[in-house]
Amino acid sequence: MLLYGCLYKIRLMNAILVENLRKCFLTPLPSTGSFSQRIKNMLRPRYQEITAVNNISFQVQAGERVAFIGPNGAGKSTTIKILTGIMQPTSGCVKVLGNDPAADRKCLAYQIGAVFGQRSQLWYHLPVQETLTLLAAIYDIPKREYQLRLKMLAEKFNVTSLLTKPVRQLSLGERMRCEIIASFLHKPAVLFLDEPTIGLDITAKAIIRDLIRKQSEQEGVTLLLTSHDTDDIEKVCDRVIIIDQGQLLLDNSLHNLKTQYIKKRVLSIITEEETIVWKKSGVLVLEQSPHHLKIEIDMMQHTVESVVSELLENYTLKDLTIEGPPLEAIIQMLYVNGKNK
Amino acid sequence: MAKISNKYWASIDIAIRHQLAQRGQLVGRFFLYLVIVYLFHQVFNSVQAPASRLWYLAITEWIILSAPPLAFQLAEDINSGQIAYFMLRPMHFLSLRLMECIGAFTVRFILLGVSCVGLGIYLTGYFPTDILTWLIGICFGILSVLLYNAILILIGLCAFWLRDIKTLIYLNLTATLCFGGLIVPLSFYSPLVKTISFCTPYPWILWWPAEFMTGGHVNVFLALMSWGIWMVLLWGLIIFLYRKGIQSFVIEGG
Repeated sequence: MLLYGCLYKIRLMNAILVENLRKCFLTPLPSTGSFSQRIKNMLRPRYQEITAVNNISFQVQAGERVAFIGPNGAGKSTTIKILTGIMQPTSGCVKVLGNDPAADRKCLAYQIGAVFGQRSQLWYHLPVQETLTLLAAIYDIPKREYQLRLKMLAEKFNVTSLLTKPVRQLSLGERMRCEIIASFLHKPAVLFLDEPTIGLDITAKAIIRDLIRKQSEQEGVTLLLTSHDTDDIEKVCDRVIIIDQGQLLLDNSLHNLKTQYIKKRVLSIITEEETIVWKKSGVLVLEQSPHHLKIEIDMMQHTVESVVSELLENYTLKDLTIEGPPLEAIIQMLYVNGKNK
Repeated sequence: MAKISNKYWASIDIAIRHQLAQRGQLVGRFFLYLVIVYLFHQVFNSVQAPASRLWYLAITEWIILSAPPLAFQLAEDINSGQIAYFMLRPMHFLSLRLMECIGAFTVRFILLGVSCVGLGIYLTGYFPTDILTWLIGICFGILSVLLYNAILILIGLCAFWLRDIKTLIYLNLTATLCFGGLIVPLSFYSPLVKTISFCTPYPWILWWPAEFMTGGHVNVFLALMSWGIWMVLLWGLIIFLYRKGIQSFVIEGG
């Protein structure tokens, strides 16, 4: 009963709460000038303050899947290190599952997990199962519970036959599936994913994204994903937080992001009529062939509905496809706008 | 408490398995040991040194070659940012690495111990003392490696500020060779060098157990006291440096 009470409380509250977070680093200035000045600098180095994260605030509800993205050096990793308790903030308030990450790091460690695409937590020369057994001991998972959990995850991630193989014999995709199992083993309430699909082929990427999303949905795990691959964001997350130069650029749902920031849409139609004559300001013809027309609509001048109605008045449509620009283009535009600001 | 010991045991256990899985490395280490002991056997024979010198050297080499490269491991963790991964776990980073080091040490210590006894008897034709003295000496040897590991941890932690710790590793090896009596016992040193050596932790890493196991005169109480004082001092410094390092570091690749 008590356990369910606790779970209910966790479900209700914010999984992550960040308020006015700031993190500054002091970095030594390079010594320049004459020899004596260099010696002086060496003995008494001068420092400059660099603000890696500047006054950002956001909240993540329990069970949400959030992409936390930004260009290199934006402050993503610093924020995640603060959220996991590895670093202390200069100022501001951070709560993860109701805990202060820096003060309660050990307690929080039982409730959070992490997958770093470029690092491995598996012992290279040993079968995967050996590392998982070690992790079960580290996370105080009772033996029976561990065995059941491992069986369930191994079946779900289709790695049952891989568990007895040494890690060095696994492909990158197989290894990554095992890494994710290792991170889900102790049932974390929040999982931090840093480039989980980096270096994988298209099929492996699709499998990993699908597995992460399904596992998160089934167990209500809050995900905070950082990735430069926009497909990771589209396939796994429902919300996007973009930061740049330490500041919050955007915090919106993926759906809103796509609808609000799409300035142009591409429409492809196939008609019964062989010849399509089409000329309209704000609409650019991209491709034209018998029975086929591809146009780009300027959303500032027309709506898709108005263009489609007009087409329907003049032609018999057999097929119609509406495409938006890829998420990558939207994010790139936001990065450029952020830099210009 | 049981849960904590379970974590430590699991870390030691996996390191033992990992070490055993790297058979090639173990064989390489065995041959290195063999070559060193054989070469010194030839050198000692040519200067007609007593056979106990070879036993002394076989024991010091056994201890030093059993110690895993903990300093490099820690520096690698710090420089690569892997430390962040370990800090997310509900186990202290240094404890985890130390337990893994003990696991790897156990395998090496047993393998090289058997080699030491086998080679020593084969090359000298006798066993220096009795079994009980050796069993006590092995316990001292284990304590020595713990002290040596403390120095290696300290050097590894310097990577927070220095990044490259190769120079420190080299200095440590030189100090071990000179002040620890890696090749010849400290009793051969001049009084001044001997006094300087006993002011460092190195005699309590190599000279003490090797001298004891070869039947030399060792004040065990003084040795244990010195070992204890150095352990307290070094671990105090380790905890201080670790806290300072964690406060100041920025993980690369962010």
